[in-house]
Amino acid sequence: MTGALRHTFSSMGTVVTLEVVGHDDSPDARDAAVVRAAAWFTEIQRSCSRFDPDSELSRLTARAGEAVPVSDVLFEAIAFAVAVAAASDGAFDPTVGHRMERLGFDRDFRTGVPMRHDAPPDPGATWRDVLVDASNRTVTLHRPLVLDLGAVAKGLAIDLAARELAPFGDFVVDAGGDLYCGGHNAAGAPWSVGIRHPRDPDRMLRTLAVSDCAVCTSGDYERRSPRDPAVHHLLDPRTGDAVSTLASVTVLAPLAMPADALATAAFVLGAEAGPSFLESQGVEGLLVTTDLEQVMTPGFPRD
Amino acid sequence: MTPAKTNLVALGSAAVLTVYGAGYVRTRAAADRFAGDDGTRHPAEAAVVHLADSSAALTPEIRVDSALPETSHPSLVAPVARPQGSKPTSKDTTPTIPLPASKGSDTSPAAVPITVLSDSSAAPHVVVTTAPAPTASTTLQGTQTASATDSASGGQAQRPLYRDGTYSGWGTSRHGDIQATVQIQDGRIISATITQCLTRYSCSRIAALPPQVVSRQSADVDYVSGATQSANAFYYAVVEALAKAK
Repeated sequence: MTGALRHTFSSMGTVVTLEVVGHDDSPDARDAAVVRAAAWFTEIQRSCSRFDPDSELSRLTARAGEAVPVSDVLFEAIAFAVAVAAASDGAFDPTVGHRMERLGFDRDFRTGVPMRHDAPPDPGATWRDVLVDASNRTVTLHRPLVLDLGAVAKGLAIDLAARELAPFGDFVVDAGGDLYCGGHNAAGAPWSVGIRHPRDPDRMLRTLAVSDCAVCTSGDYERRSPRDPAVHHLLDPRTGDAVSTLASVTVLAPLAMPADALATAAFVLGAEAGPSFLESQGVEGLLVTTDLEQVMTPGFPRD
Repeated sequence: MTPAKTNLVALGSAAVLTVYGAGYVRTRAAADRFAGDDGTRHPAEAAVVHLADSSAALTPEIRVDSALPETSHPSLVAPVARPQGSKPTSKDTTPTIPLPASKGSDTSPAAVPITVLSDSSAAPHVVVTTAPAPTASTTLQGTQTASATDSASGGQAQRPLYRDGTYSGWGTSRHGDIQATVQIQDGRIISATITQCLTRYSCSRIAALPPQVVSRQSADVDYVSGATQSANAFYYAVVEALAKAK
């Protein structure tokens, strides 16, 4: 018996779809894998949510100055975020959170409950104030600061879910448009992935055929500040201002966590420095300027 | 800008493996708990339903669409599984398939195999589904007869009763939000309506669903081909409304 399984749920502020193409007679094994894959999203959110005051991340943020032992999930997410910050010279910076809060991204956009901090974040804090101790598995925040693990956490959840589904070969993990495509679709062809036009929600800029690949997009159209609709959520951590030269960046990579973080870094780096940064990391990218000019890394699929 | 010295894809791969290895046991235990449920849908759990194939095999298009509406309504972890029929493909099934980044032992990321369609126009986005077998026999729209069939069907009439009253809930989708309102009387759902339809597509497409809430005494409504998002949003809205009635 053949059948495909699609499972949709809400997590990490978005709609997640897991789809597995069935080829064999083990629907139970497939169902169990899908349930485990979905459970990873819950696990990651519980550790890494900036908006949940009971999340492990929120509890870490309340203990500035201490070496806090953290779970593997939180440790690896923070360590990776710091590594991307170092590699991008701060263009990507997980401590951008407090600047985001001042621009109005300060509440859980599902419940409207605002965040509160016991110690006000230090406006001069950067990623260099986050110390990651690999041997003790601790994180020390040298100053009061706000960590935003949004890009990293979602990518991590996608990669973990993909790992659960990998034995089935043909599957998709789609978390609100950031996705990993394994194998081929039900017709035996590579998965067809459309890149949304940054200014026209009804149009696709391009359509790619991908297999065993993560596709992650950062766009200025995704979220806007509730205080000022002209301000979107992608800030240049070095200035605190919303990036205004690019409309979207799409990265293709073997894994979603780096694809997600690198798309954000490249967005800040802009059309000039973005492509070479992506190239140096061995991933492919498409950068769309606000004038709708498309810049690609040399290996990005062209028509 | 100084060239990046760290290979972030390789680093990411190691991180994913570490987390997977450490957390697998706990996640698996949680999943096994969910998998052993009695078939009743629980909004907060990942219940998965496997349904019969449909006849057509269509290429699903996955859109990289990040423009999801941000609402202030509480989001629901209300998973719904709907399979699609597919033709079997001749593909070697290997027992385990490693993550692409772990292929090979060098630190450079694996080459990304990508082919490009010559025609960049979007393939039609069509979802073909079959309706789930109702767990209660379908009764007439809006009627509340305690028939023998109802009480014999899968224990639906014996499920925990709801508190009487009128309750509303919101469901969200990438096409907009839907508010559903249910009325509970004598512990049973006597009506379900779409009280606000904020989706860009008309809710007439899912007009068949509200009566199913009453006939099935639950949120387990069908999918609607071509209106998957709206059907989902309605489902989530009913789940939220019923949660308030518990």
